[in-house]
Amino acid sequence: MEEEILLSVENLSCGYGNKIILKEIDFQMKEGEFLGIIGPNGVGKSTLLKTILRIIPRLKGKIFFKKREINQIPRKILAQQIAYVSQQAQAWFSFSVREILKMGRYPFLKRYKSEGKRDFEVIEEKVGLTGIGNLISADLEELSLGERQLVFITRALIQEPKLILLDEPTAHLDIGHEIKIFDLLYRLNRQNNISIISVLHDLNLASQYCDRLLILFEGKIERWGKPQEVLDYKIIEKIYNTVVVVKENPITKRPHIFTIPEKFR
Amino acid sequence: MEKKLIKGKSFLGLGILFFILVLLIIFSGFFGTVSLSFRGILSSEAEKTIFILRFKRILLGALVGGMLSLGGAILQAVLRNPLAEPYILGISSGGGLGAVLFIILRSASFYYATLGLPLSAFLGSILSFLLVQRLAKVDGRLSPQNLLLSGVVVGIVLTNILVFIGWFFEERLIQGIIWWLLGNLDIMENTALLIIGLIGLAGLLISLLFARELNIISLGEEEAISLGIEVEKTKQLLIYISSLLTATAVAFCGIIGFVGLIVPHIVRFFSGNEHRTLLPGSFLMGAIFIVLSDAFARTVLSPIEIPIGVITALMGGPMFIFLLQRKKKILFK
Repeated sequence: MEEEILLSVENLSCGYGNKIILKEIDFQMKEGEFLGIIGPNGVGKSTLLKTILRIIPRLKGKIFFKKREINQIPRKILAQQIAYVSQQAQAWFSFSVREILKMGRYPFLKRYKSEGKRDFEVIEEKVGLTGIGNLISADLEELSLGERQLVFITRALIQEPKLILLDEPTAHLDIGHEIKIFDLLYRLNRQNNISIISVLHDLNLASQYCDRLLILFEGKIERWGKPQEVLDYKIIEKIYNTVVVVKENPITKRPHIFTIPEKFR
Repeated sequence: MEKKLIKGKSFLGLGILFFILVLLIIFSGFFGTVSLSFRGILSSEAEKTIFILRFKRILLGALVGGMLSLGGAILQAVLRNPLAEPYILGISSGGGLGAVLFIILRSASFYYATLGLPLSAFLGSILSFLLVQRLAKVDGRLSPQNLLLSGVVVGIVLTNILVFIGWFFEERLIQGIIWWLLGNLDIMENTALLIIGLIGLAGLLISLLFARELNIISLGEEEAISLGIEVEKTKQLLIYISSLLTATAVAFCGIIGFVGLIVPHIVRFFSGNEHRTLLPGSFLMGAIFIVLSDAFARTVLSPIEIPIGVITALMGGPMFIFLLQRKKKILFK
């Protein structure tokens, strides 16, 4: 069966103003894939996500979503297709979870219209999917970081997107929450056919969950492929400038990266 | 799933605020340097005249309080800064300079018309706002930090020009300048009242159409873009609305401090940040705040009237500190 190409990035350059951060970015993503973007700090992982989302204007190249150039797609229509979960910065103004979830229907609502029956059905369905029914009346301020991230993932789902882009969704979470969130994302990906691109800082997480990995280094794609193919110690030592050993995880059969402190070298 | 999820915000609170406001507008008219009675208004022509004049003044106060508070609520959300007040984008200092220039020219017996002072204050506000806006724009983007910074800087420069002019022209002007700077509700022309009312209501209605965008933008601009909002255009429009509201208020009533900063926070304290209730709530609460302050201003040291800006600052300051204490854990986390 021929799988649909969902996202196609061609010869993309991105950055800010005349400062180029990434160039010659070329990759294609199939529908239903779970992609990881990894690379050292400051390499431009978030910049790439934001360029795809048209938060930052691109400097060069093309991006196609379902064969349509995304610059040609009105923002609200694009928001019905692609959702974004950012690293939540501290917001000064807090909202109840219910209010935050309603925001996910924004792309579907006319200016003078309130949320209708169908909107609330979608909200209820997605709340069921992520299991945050008990948080619905709480205020965002009262929630733990893990719970907040679940709320924003739910809001993304309420946009009914084909593709969700996440920027280090578990950046400040403990491993319990980390696994909980990635298990959820994986379920959404496999059972609900939502394609996912996530920036990750944890290589092992990337290795366990992602179908393919995009490794960025020095402004370009260093490697692009399945975790088993691209995560070898030479690459990792080169891009992170440290010593590692890569072994297979006995259960998942995916590569696992062990860091080696200086005193053991 | 609980049904609560489905229900929108209750509008009961807004109804209560509206009711309180109407009562206050009617009843505070009886109090002032001259106390009036219901029977007196019906029987004596003089008392009736005073009541009507006072009623207009109260109406003006309500409108201006509502506009400043609405302007503040909008600006706080757009700049994502709870300390933003509607004057901060150069509006008060520009308006002050415009007003002072007019007072000087008038006393030099140039040109005088009843709407002259408000008009030149309004022009001053708008010009200095446009300057702030211009200075803040980088690559076609308005960042909240740049706006606040250039607002503060332009404010300082213009205020000092104003101080210099006051010092240069000495006593004969000082009285007028101070009277203006402390805020006043002394305009009685029906046309002025009508203009203010129309601008206030238009501002409220248009901003309400953007309540959803304000909710989303106040949480973060990048997320707002990803949800499909044209953030730069929307921000620009909302900043214009806030500034128009504020410049109108400043033009007619001078600088009534603290209302636009504090009132949105009082409303947030009760009903959260959902702008569909916050915007009309701020308008109503701001109106109540000024009508009450003005009643104080008229009666506390009667027969002397205290400038209303003094009262709002004296009431607003402690209130703000109280709210800040309650919110401290969030603000300084």
